[in-house]
Parts: sequence; structure tokens; C-alpha cells
Amino acid sequence: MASPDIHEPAMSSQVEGASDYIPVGTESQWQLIRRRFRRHRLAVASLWVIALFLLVAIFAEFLSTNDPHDVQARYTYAPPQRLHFIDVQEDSGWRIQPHVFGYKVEVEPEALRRVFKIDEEKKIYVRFFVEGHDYNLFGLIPMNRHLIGTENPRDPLFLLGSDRLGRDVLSRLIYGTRISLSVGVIGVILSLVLGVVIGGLAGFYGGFFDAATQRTIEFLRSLPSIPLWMGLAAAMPPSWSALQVYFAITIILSLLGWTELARVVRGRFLALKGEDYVSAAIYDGASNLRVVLRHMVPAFTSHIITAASLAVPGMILAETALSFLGLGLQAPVISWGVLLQEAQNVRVLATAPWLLAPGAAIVIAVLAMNFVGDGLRDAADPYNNT
Amino acid sequence: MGFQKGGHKMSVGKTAVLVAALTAATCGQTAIAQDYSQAPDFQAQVDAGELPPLADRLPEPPLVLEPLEEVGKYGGTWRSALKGTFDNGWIRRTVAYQPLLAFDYNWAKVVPNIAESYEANEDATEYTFHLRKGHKWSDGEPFTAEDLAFALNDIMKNPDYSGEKAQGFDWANMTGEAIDDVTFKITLEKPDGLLLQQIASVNGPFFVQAPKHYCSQFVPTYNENAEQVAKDRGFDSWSQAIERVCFTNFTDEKRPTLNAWRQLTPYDGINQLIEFERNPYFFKVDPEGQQLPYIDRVTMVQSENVEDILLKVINGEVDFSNRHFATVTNKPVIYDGQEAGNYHLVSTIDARMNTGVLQFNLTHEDPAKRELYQNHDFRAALSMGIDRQEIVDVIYAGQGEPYQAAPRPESEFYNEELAKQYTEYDPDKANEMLDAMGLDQRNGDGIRLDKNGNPIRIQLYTPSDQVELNDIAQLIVGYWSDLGIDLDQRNVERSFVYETFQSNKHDLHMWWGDGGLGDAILDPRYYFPMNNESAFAYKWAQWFINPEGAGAEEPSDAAKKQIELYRELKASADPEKQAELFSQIIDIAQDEFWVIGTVLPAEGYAVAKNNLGNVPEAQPYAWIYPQPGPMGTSQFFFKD
Amino acid sequence: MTAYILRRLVAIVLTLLALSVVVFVVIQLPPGDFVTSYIARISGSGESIDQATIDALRAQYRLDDPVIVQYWAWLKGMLVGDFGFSFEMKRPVSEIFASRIGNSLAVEMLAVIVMWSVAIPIGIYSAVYQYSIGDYFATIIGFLGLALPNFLFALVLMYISYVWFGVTITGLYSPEYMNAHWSLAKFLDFCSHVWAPVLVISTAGSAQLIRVLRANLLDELNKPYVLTARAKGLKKSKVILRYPARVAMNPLISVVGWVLPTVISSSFVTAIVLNLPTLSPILLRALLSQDMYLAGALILFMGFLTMMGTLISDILLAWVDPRIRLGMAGAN
Repeated sequence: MASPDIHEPAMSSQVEGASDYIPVGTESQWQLIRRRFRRHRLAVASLWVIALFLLVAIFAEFLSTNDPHDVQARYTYAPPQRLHFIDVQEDSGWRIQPHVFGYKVEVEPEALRRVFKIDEEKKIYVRFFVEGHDYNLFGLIPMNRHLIGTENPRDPLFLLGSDRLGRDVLSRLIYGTRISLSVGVIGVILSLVLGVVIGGLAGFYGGFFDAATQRTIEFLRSLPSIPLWMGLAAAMPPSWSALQVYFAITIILSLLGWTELARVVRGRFLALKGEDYVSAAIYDGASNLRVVLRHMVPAFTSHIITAASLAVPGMILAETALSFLGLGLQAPVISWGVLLQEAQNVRVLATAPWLLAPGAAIVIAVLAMNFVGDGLRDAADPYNNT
Repeated sequence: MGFQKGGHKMSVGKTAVLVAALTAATCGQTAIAQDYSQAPDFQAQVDAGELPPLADRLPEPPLVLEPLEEVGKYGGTWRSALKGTFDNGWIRRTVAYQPLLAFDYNWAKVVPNIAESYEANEDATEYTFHLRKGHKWSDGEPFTAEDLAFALNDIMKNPDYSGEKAQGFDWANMTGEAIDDVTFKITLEKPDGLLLQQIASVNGPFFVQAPKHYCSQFVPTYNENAEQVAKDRGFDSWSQAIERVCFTNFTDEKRPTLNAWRQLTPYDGINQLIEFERNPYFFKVDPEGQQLPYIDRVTMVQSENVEDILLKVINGEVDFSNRHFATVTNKPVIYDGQEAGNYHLVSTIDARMNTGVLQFNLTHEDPAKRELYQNHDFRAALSMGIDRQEIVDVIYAGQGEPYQAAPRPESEFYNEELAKQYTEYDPDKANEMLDAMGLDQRNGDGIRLDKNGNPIRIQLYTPSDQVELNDIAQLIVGYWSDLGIDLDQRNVERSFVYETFQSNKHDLHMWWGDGGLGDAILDPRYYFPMNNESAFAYKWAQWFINPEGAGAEEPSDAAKKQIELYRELKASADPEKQAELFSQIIDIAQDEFWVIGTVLPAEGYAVAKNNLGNVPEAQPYAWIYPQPGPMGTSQFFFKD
Repeated sequence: MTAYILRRLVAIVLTLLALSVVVFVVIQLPPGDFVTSYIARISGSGESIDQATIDALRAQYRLDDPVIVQYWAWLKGMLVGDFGFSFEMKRPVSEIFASRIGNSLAVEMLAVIVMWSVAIPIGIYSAVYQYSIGDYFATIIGFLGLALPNFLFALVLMYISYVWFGVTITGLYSPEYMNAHWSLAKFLDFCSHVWAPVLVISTAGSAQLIRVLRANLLDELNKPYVLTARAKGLKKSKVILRYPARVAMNPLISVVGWVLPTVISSSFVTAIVLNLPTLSPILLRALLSQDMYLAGALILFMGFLTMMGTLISDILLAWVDPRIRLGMAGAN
């Protein structure tokens, strides 16, 4: 991206900015942004958090300790096991060896539940790179190694507890991360394409097209989003496969999400059209396409990225809201929304709060993305030189 | 169901009090007043001249209700909750179960209720009901046989009436006649030996829900401005006015009633609290002559979600209920909350015989699928491929037993062979059977190919609001994939499930196993194709309903035999013969193995506050028998 | 100005018309109709329903008519103030509407007020002390409400208040006041319930307000007049509150337009979890049961509210800010 062409706008913004900050040599716009971004420490920290989430999403199979669909009849609503590192031997020696303790399980027929007690007699050693359930890494490379796991695959390992069917919450959370993040990212990319194309055209050409776009945007923004999602989501043929539903939900979310981006883009286009350097390019005989791509788009890429990064958490939250209403993705697909939908009852709050772990994941991810978006915005704002 | 044989005249009163009352009645009304007593607030109103004396309000004879445990005392409010605007079922179960004849507590026989006695002829074509003299609506107007004839002839049988009707009655077949004020006769063109049970069922009270003096204003036969009256009240048509006001919908608090409590606020979806207060004209007394009900008021909070209701329960804000919240999932929470909430759990006997009945579509439009699903061995093999014990362990914490769709062990129609056949988990044998059927070819994913070479893929839609059904289905997906069968299960909106199978577009349908106890004979939907819920052979069921009707198709010989037997059963007034015929139907169901069952539900539960008296223990739970209604909810009372 | 308002009003009417088409189509999209969902629901209690009744119901609700005919009938009715009939509640839509709109507006207005009163101090603080610990802390708090899914927050509040205080905070009134007339006691009871939904809804929207305010204030703070005022020795707090904060408030007016849809959307989910007697649960039910006239009218109303909100905020802006007012005149 850092091509020499964008020096022009960057320079002009600096001149206008009347700053207390004197450039030495020439820094590209991106270097400037990076420099300013670093001052928002919360945003920097958040960036690392997001990177972590992305890694989890990419290596979900490798990181998960259990098969997320595997039902373990004896371990329904098992509480989380604590991971111990120091292994005290019977002869009172010790060594560093991660392990968890097994469960003693009793059934209370009156209360219709299993009661779990930690069984300190039964040590289950946790090993690295153990063999477990089969998967294809990146959908291609067949593997069965996992980062951690038990020596004996039949031993229970529930680091975040298990759900009502005895499935491992941690592994489900890890798989859910992939689906939920990708809904957000793909949805935003779709909105971005729509928003940039439509907003750009409206801003560049103006006139009737602009007016029509404006009315459409106003119209879409006046729609109460949740009922509309509901209507569209309910209209999806139930015979669709999980993948189709996934894309349909993403498209529904982005269909209603592009308006904000289009508004930003149009606004920037209108503003830039009046800039001297754009006029200069036009008088210079540059084609429309060239003016737009070479001279205008680079000038507000940072704004687009900001708007987009702020839209991702919105998409993720929207996915959970749809799932809450029973209209989003459905089991057996695992997303944060699906996991939370299964957990949103008093039984879980009262007896199995570990099932709310996806809620924590959502809060952290959404906060981090918002802070990164804010950091970017602060950094990209040419007037903001504090 | 062995209720008293038709033709035998039954009477109610056996207690000394009642006998005394009856003899006293001949001496004049004033004498009775000394034998009966009433709630203090009514006494005060009578003393102030605002209310007629009790003797003028009670019919003769009143019904003497023997309490479950003890005679109670007046006072208190019974609190419970409704879900959404469409939960009139709970009102029908609690406040409004006052049919002409009622089921007894054990669901063993039909006993008089509003009617003091009844007679039936041998052919089961004429039924005569004797009402109580001086019985009055809650507004003090007399209740007579005219009211019954009005509800039957002028509403249900009215060809212009387009609203909801009571289920399970054949309207064209029945005509009502008011012989005199206290004698009502139903004449049938075709015999119906199940009519009395139908009247005692949850569908029966329609007879007393349309007081003629109030509801005739909406009926054009009686009021030429009926349509206008309906419009003025905000209804679309007179039919709709009747459906909302004079049927089972409780949207008009002014409608007079015979129930123990009369309504104060309408259940219209707008009010959040539906209130009822004691009916001064209620026709039941306790053995000591106290007019029932004991409890002053009944209140129901309208809530939008079950979690909210559950919180109210564990916070002690519900006095007696099991509506919506009493699920397997919620039991641990409710169990733990007993001490803090000052309530306890009482058991109920679930009349359902299965937590999930799998119904392959035997009348599938696709001939290949139809042939496959109709294959007895195919269904048997898939049944043996289900690890029911694991389902019990995972979903029901070990409570429940593997069971097919068959009458419950408590039922007189229990058939062990039907209940237990093919419930043994044996995937190897199941695989062998499937191989032997010629389904031994598999595709790359290990899915068996049918005779046309297509992989066997079965689509199953389960309603997303039924968590346990979905969980069972998900487990079955795993079991069947071990057999090389691709079960594609989806959670969808419940209405879509119905849309699918009621247009015969389903491969497999799954629903609760109704019809395990006394409802087996009235609603044998899983034993042979007989109503819209018989999803295993929807088209055959249509044939049973009407051979000429849309979508009807001639059933297989076995199903036809069952249908004939059931017709014969309905034509008989003799309960023993009915039972004998029904056993034959069950035997055929065993041979045919129409549907695949999963797990027999363990006992259910209800929540009762610790200071509530006469709480029913181990009461059957069903819809036809609208628990807790048949216990006589007017006997609930609060201890000190 | 008057011409401008008139033009906008005409646009609103046209938009509503378009919205009515979209709404009607969207409601019709899911398979089945009200009668199917009705059958599905009653089956839950073990009931079954015969074909004759089904046909009668379809005829009664005129569901067999073509969609165009149904839409036209609805539209015609609305033009004369008849918003149609709720299949499920068997009442005129307007009556249902009237019974709940008060509660809806009360909760939403309170939420907006709380939203502003939370967002303004946080926004000012985090702009003035940008990148301080306090800024980070305030922003995290402000954004928590946004990050926490509304339904989860509501459910947790509901459970916590049961465990800690032994009260069920669902609904807006305790049962004893539900059918009572307004009194001081009922008002206090209302206050003891309404805090929960207001908290959930307002926290969901305040993050956006904080962001707008912070960004605008940062712009203002760097303007020469502020530097001048500071250089002349005015106290920092005085400078900020007297000038930049006031200017930064302007954009807050312009967000009125989108605050409303946000509030309505988050109150939608919250009201269902907390069982509030507002319009939202009715709309959800209507959508699920395909009670189309009721759902249609409610969505139209929400759209109307949003559009009026935008219009009012534009008028306010013009009134406050001469530049916009003059720009508008120029456009004419």
C-alpha cells in the first residue's frame, strides 16, 4: 500500500494541520498512522488480543483438547478441572508435570443430576502434542496431533467444564471462535465492497444517483434492524445446509451493514472532490478511474479501515442476537451465539456458570476490536495532533 | 378405562350431610341454610343484603367434594404464571375444568360433575343428562338445559360458525335437546361409545362456556344485529366474537361462568395479571357443608419467557403449578430452591409413553423412500441401532427406561412385546439386517445406497423450542451414522415442522409420545393412523378421517383392519368390549411396528408451596385429562 | 425552513409506503402462515386439530387471498386509520398498541436520558485526559455495555437480583400493582423494576455516544481559541465546559436519529428476557406466529419513530447551528 503516490495527500494534511511536530525526511501516511496508533496503549494491547483470537481461529483443531461434538454420557455438566503443574509423587518427591484430577461421579435421582467431586486419587497427566481426534489442518493436511491432551484419550479433560451433553466447553469455544470471527470479518468485507462501490459512485457522480443512494441509505437505516433480520432469517429455507445458512446469515448482516460505510465513503468523496490536487489530476486529463483509484481512494483508506474495524464487533454481536432469537446459526454448527443460546437459562447460571465462557470471549473480542478501531481513528485523523 | 356401564343411573351424594340436605330440601329452602356455610366475605355481603342467601345460590343437591386429605379453611390467593398470550391451556386445566361429567382423580372412570347423573342407551346413540335444580351462573341467572342445547346446536353445529370448535366431537352426528330445565339429551346418528369420555375430557367444558343469556347476543339466530354487536366489541365477525368470548379463550371477564372462580381481568394479551375471585354461586361443598372453593383468589402472571417463570417458582412466587417450567433441565434448580422458596416437589405420572417417537413417513410421495420406510426390517434395524441407555444417561441423568411407542406399564393396555421389541442396542445385528435387506452397497462416505444407488439420506426437522427432542435427535444422528445412514437433523421453528409433515413432505417426524395412559383409547395416534398427528402415515390418517377427503389414500391391510376395529370400538357402549377391541388394535401395532420409540419418561413433578393443603400426589399428567383439574382444584386451601 | 420540513415530511410518507411493502413481503417470506403456526403451537399440549377447523380459520382470516389483495386491504385500512386486526389476540391492532406504547416510551426515554448522562461525563473526561489510566478505565466501563450481549446482561441481572436480594425484577410492576391505578406506591414499585432494563439498554448505546463526544471534543480542544484561552490563564475546567464542550454537544443532537433505532433494537431483546409489558414482546410473538397485521403495524411504527427522530435532530441542528441553516437555504 505504501506507494509514493500517497505522499501528496499526506503532505497536504500535514500542512493544514499546523502541527507542533516537524517531519524529518518524509514519512509515509502509514508510518504516521503507526506512530500515532502506538500512543493509544489500550489499542496496542487490544491488537495483541485480536491476534491471539485469530491464531485460535486458525489453529482451532490443533488447539482443541477434545472433539467438540463428542458426547461423553458420564460427564454431563462436569465442572472445570484445574490444571496443576507440580506433581507431588508418593515418595514426596516432586517434578513439573501438568496434570488434572479425575472426577467422582454420583447420580442424584431426586434432583435429576450428576454430582461431581474432584478425585485426588486419580491423576490424569496432560501431555503435549498427543494424538487425539482426526482433523484436516487448514482443511487440507490430515492430522491427529493436538497441542495438549491426556495420555489415555478416554480420560476426561474438561479445562472449562462440559455442557449438558458432556461435550468439552473449551473445545467448543475454540471452534466457535473460528465461526464467529469469520462471520464478522466476511460480513464486513461484503459490506465494505458494497459500501465503497455504492458510496464511492454516489460521492463521485453526485446528482440523481447520489440522491437515490441517499434515500436508500436513509430508508435502510430507518428500518428497525432486529425485526428485519428476524424476517429474513426466518425466511431461509430450513433445508439449506449449515454452510448455506452460514453464508446467508453473513449476507443478511452485511446487507444491512453497508450503509454506514457507504455514508463515510460518500462523505470523503464529496470532501476530496473539492481538493486542489484532485482537480489538478482531472485537469491533467486523468481518467475517472485513475483519479478515483490513484488519487482519492488512498486518501481515505485509513478511514475505511477504521470504519470497517468498528463494524466487525457489531457483526459478531448481531450474530449472537440472532442466535438468541433462535434464528441465527443452529446446532450442530458451533458459534459463540449458538453456545450462548444454549447457555442462556437459569439452570446454567445456577449450576453451570462455566457455560457462559463464550460470553466472556465475546466481551473481550468486542472490546478489543473497538479499542483498535478507536486507536486507528485517532491515528488516522489528520487534525488530531495531540 | 372401566367407567360405569351406560344405562346405569349414577348418583353422587353419599355423605350424611348431603342426605340431610336432600331431606331438608323437601321441607323448604330455609332449612338448608343452616347446614351449609360460606366464606366470611360472602356472609357479610348476605348480611348486608348485597347477595342472596347461600341456600338460594346453591343448587340442590350441591356436589359434595371429598377432599384429598382434609377439610380446609377459607382464604388466600393461588398464584401461578402463564406464558404469552396463548396459554389458555393452564386456565382450562386449573380454573375451567368443570365439564358435565368429569374424570375421577385416578383417571379410572367418569363421574358426575355439573350433571347430577346421566343415562345412556345400549346402542350408545342416546345420552341423557340430569342437571341440578336451581344451579346458577356466576351472575345469578339460572343455568338450564337450554344453555347446553344452545352451546351444541346453535354454536358448534351452526354451519355459519367459522371459529374454533371443541376437538374430538363429530358435530354432524350429534344433536342436543332440552327436554326440560334440568334434562338434556344428546341423540347420535351413529353410535359413539366414547362420547362420555370425550365429555369428561379437556374438550368437554365447551358445553358450559356459552351462557345462552349472555352469548346469544352474538348469534344471528337470536339477534339480528349480532354482526354489529361483534363489530362494536372490536371483533371481525360474530363467529370470532363467539370464539373469543364464549369458548375456551377467557378474553371477556364479564362472561358468566359455573367455575369455582369467576374472572376479574380478561386474558387478552394486554393485561399482565389475570385475576379470578370466588364464584358465589359455585355448586360444590365440602363434607362439612362449607361452600367451595376455599381459596379467595386465583392470579396468573403473564410472562414472555420460561426462565422468568422459573425464577418466580424458585423465589416462592408460585403456589401450585408445573406449567412450562417443570422440565428435566430445570429440575436440579427447582430441587435446590425448595428450602429458600418454601415449596416442595410433588410427583406426577406422565401419561406420555415416550420422550421422542420417530415416525418414518410410510406414505412418502417418493416411491423409493416409501418402499424403504415401509420395510419393517429397516425400521427394526434402525431401532436397534439406537443406544437408548446412553440417551437416558446423557439427557435424563439415568432416569427413564428404553421404550417403544406403547401404552405405559401402568396402563390396562400394556403390551410388553410392543413396549420392548427392538430396544436392545445391537449395532452389529442392525448392520447385518440392513446388509441382508440388500442395502450392502456404500458410497465413499460410508453411507449405504438404496436400490436406485442413491445414498440413504433422511431429513429430520425438530422444533427448536424442544431442547430435549433436539438433543435426542443429535445423539441419534451419531448412532445412525454408525449404521451407514445419513440422518440430517435441523432445529427449525415449530410451525415449519408442522407445515412440512402436514403437507406430507417429511421423511421422518419426531414428537412426544402422547397416549400412554387413559388417553390411549381417545388419542391412539401412534398405534394406528387416525388423526393429523399420525405423521407416520399422514395420508392413511386422512383416509380414516374422510376417505373422500383431500390427500386421503387407502391404507395398508393391517392399518385398515385397525381402522375397522376402532370404528367397531366407537360403536360399542360396552367398556369391556371397547377394551377388548383396543387390545386387538395394539396387537396389530406390535406386529406392524409403525413407529420407533426411544425412552419412557420418568415421573414428572409439580411445585407446591409448603402451606398449601390437599395437594395431589402422583396425579396423572396429560392433556385429555387436564391435570390438575380432575382433582377438583376448589379444594386447595392454605394452612396456617 | 418550512418548505424544508414539508419536503422531509413528504419523503417520510413515501418512505413509510416503501417500508410497508418491504415489511409485508418480509413477514410473508417464512413458509406457512398464521394458521400453521397456530396448529404447531396448540399441538404442544397434546392437542390435535381437524382439517375442517383449519380451513375455517384460513377462510376467517382471508389467508387464502393473494398477497397483493391482502396487502391492498391492509393499506386501504391504514389510510383511514384502521391498522388491521391481530389474528392471535383477536383485537384491533390500535388497541393493543395503545395499551403498551406508554410503557415502551417510558423505558426507552429513560434509557436515552441515562445514556446521555453516563456518556457525557465519560466522553469529556476521556477526551481531556486522553491516553491516561482514567481514560482507559472510563472507556472500558463505557464499552462494557456495548460488548456484553443485551440478553446475557439482562439474564445475569435477573438472576443476580434473585440470588442477592431475593426479588424477581422482571416486568415493570409487582403483581399487586399490575392492575392498579397510578399512585405513589405504584410509582415506587415501577422505579424498583425499571432500573434493570434501563441499565441494559442505556449501556448498550452509551459507548457510541462516548465515542462521538470524545472525537468531537478532541477536535475542539486543539483549536486555537482553546489554546489562547488557556494561554491567557483561564482554568482548564472552565475553558472546557464553557466553550469546547458546548460546541462538541452539537453532534450529539445529530445522533438523536440513530440513537432511537439502537435503543429500540436493544430494548427489543431486553424486554423479552425481562418480560417487560412493552411493544417488543408483542412484536416478537407476532413475528413468530406470523400475525402479520400486528407485526407490520409495529414495524412501521418503529420506522416512523426513527424517521421522525432524524427529522427532529436535523431541525434542531439547523436551529442551533447557523452554518447548516444557511446551507439549507442555499440548497433551496
